[in-house]
Amino acid sequence: MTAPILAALPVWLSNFLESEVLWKVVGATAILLGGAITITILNRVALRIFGPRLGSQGVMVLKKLIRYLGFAFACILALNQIGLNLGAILGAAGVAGIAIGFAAQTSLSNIISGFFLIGERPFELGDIIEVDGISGTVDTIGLLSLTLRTFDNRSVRIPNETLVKTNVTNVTRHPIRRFNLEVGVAYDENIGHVLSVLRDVSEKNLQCLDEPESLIIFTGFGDSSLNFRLGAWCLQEDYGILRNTLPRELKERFDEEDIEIPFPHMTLAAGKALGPIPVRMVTDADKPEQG
Amino acid sequence: MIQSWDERDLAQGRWFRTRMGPLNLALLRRHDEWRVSTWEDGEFPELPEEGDRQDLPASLEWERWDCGDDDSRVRLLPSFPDLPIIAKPTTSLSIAPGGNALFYVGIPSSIEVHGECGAGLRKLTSISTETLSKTWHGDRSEGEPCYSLRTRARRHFEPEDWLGHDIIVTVDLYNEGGEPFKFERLFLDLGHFSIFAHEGRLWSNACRIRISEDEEEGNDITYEPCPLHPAADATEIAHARAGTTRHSSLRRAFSSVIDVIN
Repeated sequence: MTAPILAALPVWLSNFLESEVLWKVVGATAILLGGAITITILNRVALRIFGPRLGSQGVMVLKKLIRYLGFAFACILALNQIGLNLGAILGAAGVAGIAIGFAAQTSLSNIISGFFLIGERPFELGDIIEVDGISGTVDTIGLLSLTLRTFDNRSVRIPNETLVKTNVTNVTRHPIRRFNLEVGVAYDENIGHVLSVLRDVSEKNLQCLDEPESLIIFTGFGDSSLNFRLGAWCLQEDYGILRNTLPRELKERFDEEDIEIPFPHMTLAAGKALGPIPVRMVTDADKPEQG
Repeated sequence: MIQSWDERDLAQGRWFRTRMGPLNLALLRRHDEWRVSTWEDGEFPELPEEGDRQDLPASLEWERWDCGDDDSRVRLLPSFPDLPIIAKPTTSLSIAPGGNALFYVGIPSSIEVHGECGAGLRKLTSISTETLSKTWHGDRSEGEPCYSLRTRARRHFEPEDWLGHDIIVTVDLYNEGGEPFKFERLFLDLGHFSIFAHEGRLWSNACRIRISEDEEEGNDITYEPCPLHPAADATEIAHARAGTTRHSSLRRAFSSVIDVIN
């Protein structure tokens, strides 16, 4: 059926169409295209099935995993279609894999740590976390690392391995949070009165939740003050406001009640004898002449 | 207390003011805008009830909403706070098995401003007459924010006990368990309460709560269609935010609607 058609074509074109290489390339291309479509479908199906359980971090990693493994598999099939000796390639890849494995220990460790993080889900995209003294919002979560956006808008990349090895504090995991305020008053003050003032200030603050009840305790006798702790609960979104308003309101109330907050004073002493600081009068005649 | 909750017209360049408890509010129609300003009691005591734009103090701060050239209709409506409330009696009350206790709870209202914007009236804003303290209903990992009311649960209705901007909610508690029930606090989701006006006061439809010992059955609530005496013939002025519910559906919806914590 195709022979008369080929005969009607120019010789160079009919030779080209009859060549084995062309059809191998066409086959390989079809495999790659089919692979891309299959990967897209697989991604959607997997996300629908596992998405709700994995969370945003898991979804991101699962998508990347399906894409990378799928394309690797499609490439192997396409190369096989072209006629390359896959045994030799895979053998070489095995040897290379060992070498690359040694060289890429850190990357592999990060990838494996990433899987642990997916399983554990200690944080989600958008959470505020603290890692190694760095605080910020989780911006992106990748196979190898996580990106934190700090509050002054810097981007910090943290390897997944670090997240597994070190303490990670998730600040926004729970809907309410406690703000702890340590305060010291003079030894002359009445402890009961100070406790009742602290209670009243926390009750009158608009961001401070009535329940859970504020923690108000006398923490001990300091070097120069009676020490107290006021732990006030608030909604996560009110934390910043509470942190600003509560100390101010407490200071204002202490001022009204004449409750003294002691603070260290510095006295300047001029040398051995602790005598007065010597002062020398300088007149115009003592000044060096100019020019 | 606002005397009229009816719709009214406001001409271009005109304004009126109103007062609800400690909240003072002025509404101005200017250019193609509705403008609303609020202030606390004591400020601008000489300001008349209504007037032209030039009579207004320059220091007022305004919120603005765009509207059409010919839009002039406006309406103020009372509403409940935007979060559920937890009411705590000043001292707890023990309700005997088979007994019941009626409580009047005063909840500070908000004012909704509805202005004409093209086709009809649109809610522009909602302003609380009183700033309420917040609290948390649930444990430290899960729950919901609420407003806290400490002192406004009364056993009898005495007109002088209530502020003009309070919405009076009546809650009738029935203890159907075999043990005395110590009533310490009441969690009320306000979505299914309508607001009624009666003799210059605001009321909500009454509700009855049946306290059961059966954990699975929970506490059953029934919403009455209107307030209790002396406001039984009150006029409804604001519909329930989450719609009115019937007794049959209330049983199923109970756990998310109302809760009594012992």
